[in-house]
Amino acid sequence: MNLVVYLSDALRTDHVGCYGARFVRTPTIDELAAGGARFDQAISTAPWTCPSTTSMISGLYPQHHGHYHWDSKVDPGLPNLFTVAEAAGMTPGSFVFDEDFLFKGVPGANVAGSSETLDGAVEWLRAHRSEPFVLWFHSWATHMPYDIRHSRRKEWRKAKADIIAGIQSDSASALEELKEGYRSAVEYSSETLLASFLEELERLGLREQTALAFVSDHGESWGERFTEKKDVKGTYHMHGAALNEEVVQVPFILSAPGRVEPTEIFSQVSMVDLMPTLLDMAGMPLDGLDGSSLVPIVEGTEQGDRPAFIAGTDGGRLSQLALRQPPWKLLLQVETGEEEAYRLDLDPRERHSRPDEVPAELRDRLFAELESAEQKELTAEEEATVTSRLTDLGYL
Amino acid sequence: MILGLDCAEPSLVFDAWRDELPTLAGLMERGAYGPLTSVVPPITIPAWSCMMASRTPGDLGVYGFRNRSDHTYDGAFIANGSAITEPRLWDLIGRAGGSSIVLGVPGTFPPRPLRGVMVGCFLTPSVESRYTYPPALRDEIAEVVGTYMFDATGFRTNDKDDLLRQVYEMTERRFQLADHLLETRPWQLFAMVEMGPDRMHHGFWKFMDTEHRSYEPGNPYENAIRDYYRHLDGQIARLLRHADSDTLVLVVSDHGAKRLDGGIRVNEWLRREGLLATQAEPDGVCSPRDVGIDWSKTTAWGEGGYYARIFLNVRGREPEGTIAPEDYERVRDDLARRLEAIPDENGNPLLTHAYKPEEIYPQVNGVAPDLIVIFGDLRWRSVGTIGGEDGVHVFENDTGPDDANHAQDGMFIAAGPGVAASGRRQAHLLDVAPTVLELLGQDVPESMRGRSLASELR
Repeated sequence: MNLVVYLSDALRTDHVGCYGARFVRTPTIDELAAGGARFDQAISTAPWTCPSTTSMISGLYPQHHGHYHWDSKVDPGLPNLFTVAEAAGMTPGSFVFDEDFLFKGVPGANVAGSSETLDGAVEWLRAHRSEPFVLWFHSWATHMPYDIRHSRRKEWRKAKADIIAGIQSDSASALEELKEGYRSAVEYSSETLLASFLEELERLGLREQTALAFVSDHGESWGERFTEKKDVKGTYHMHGAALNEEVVQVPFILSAPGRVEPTEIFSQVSMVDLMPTLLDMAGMPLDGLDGSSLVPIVEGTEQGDRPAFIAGTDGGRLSQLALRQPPWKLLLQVETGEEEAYRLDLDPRERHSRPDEVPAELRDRLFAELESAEQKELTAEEEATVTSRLTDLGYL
Repeated sequence: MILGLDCAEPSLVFDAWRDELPTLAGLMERGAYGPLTSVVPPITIPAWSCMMASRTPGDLGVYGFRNRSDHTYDGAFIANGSAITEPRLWDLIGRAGGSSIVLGVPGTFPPRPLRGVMVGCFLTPSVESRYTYPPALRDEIAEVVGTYMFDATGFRTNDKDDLLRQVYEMTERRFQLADHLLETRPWQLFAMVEMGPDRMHHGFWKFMDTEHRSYEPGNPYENAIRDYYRHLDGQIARLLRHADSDTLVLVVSDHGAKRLDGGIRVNEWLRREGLLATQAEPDGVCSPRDVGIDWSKTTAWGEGGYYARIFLNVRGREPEGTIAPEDYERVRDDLARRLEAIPDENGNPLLTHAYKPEEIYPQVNGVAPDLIVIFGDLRWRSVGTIGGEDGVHVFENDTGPDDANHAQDGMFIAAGPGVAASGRRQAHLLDVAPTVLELLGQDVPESMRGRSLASELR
């Protein structure tokens, strides 16, 4: 069994046909979904790429892997999708938008080229077709500025600035123009990139032996939550700062012809479950992670929503932590302890915070999770201070 | 509103100085008061956590400041807040939707998330540590009180003026912060603990107690403890402004205080009895570990502190155990008898108790001592050193303050709705949490070891 993750960055569920999009055409994604398992409520572990993808490859929530920023130190000894698969004899490879960021220094990721075009991945597939492999294709076609050709860096940066300026202008036409850019990018991603990728898998005769997950790392927003549109100052404010539904709901389709029956799954799952799910499908069940295999849910032996934690980061620190447990979503500002709580069934747009009505178990779970994120060991110096104070007092 | 006064001594508050403490006396007149029997051992860690959770030290698996983490010879941890896993009052009140202000209650560093705010206890290393929940509260504290003080330091020095200054400063800042939090935060539960009384007793008891060996008539600190209690009384009055007619006020202590007559050097005694062997002869006063313990020839060893924890070296349990498992009970009984028979320096009997943990706790979690020894009805403390000129008995001040030890009974005063003016009565520290919960109209978890006194206080 081969494993493929095809990730379309910043893809909102409401812009995918099989998730109910009305003005975007994504027949390739829809067809993929129709032949596999479509997770209707898949929640990313963070609202931006760095912590979210690290969760997807490690099976750990951001509050436990600590990859809060591209510069954060992550324990290189953490098992990940690539190292576990490689140890079992699979060949790992990945294609990323920029080799200076994604998977930089991640053991086993074996970054083999850029995902700007399909060329590298196609070549890689052809070279490794006869051996079991795990391939991560991280497409940036749907990431702002919604134009994949980012090798021309200067133009690409200007295009990004234009998007931000469009949001800040608060003009309907500017907003419509950039959203149209997004819709085109989604269609291009689905009908040109994904379609060609799948066609190549098919052509190489690999489709039947491959479990493919089509996913995104987070959603997108265009200043909807901002009263002052001027406050949208960069990508961070489109996906990264807030944990609202439009940025944490992600498409997730698991396709493995002959292995996964066509099904729609309405239970909530977290993208932290991705890595143990894929490894389980390749015959490597794992436990002891935050995530666990979704195979029981896919096969119908497990029912009900799994809890999903969502971590917000700011400047390399954990700044927010949320627990989404339908119908509730409880969010905590780490520094100030301020809470927000929404009834997603009654208030799907998260307009009316009602922290006083949240079931106590939810708050307890969120508190426990927050505690698990914090370093509790005293430093040697702190330890010495306390010990000497207690010794002076005659207690030790 | 729970006002905790670490080590506050009932005989001082209820009898000796009642007339000088108008705020506390007023609460006593309006409500009920009396001795509050503590847990064994009656010591800050774990007593406050036992009170707030209504669980015994055995339930918590915390038997004192330093605990064994496993059966190796070196595995040890200082029991800070991380060791307390049982829900405490604020957790339970939070679950019922109420907010809490928790200020300096021992067992709250590192602080845990809760509904409300928490300021870490005296085991917080420094103001640089993350000692509040939420974390942003730390900056607010710095603005309100300047440098917040967790504890007083320098007990080994004889600079008593400095100690006094520190204790007053610490107390003033803590009450100032309490006032600020009560003013600015919603609360169903306010729980604070002031360490000052304990530090005053340990540092100044001998200046006050005419029966103490080192008492000198007419010394300048004769009234230091009384004056501090009077100061505290005024500080408490300041907080009571936040207690309306609907507020239950509890003033409690985790244990009392009494004169300390001396120390029993428990490891030196074990050595002389041939039960503890060292690798080399100690060169002066030291810890047995400084010269190395010869585990293969050791039956038992002890820890110092205000009471002794005795550990047996059991084969198959400790790495180099010497006691056959089948002999364990016999050896332990024999050792308990001999420890209880240690006389004072003149050969007079001491009232010593050697407890087996399973006899005093319904449940024994973690790695408990094999014996918990309280020497001389708490008039004697346990000292862990060996060697030197001293014998088994010591009276010198080289291992910490030796003015006062803890007394088994702390104190409580309860006043407010649901509490009739009913004078003096007896209560147990484990009864505090169930009583508070019932008076707040909340369910009392079955796992709590104490019982609610709500119906008796009415």
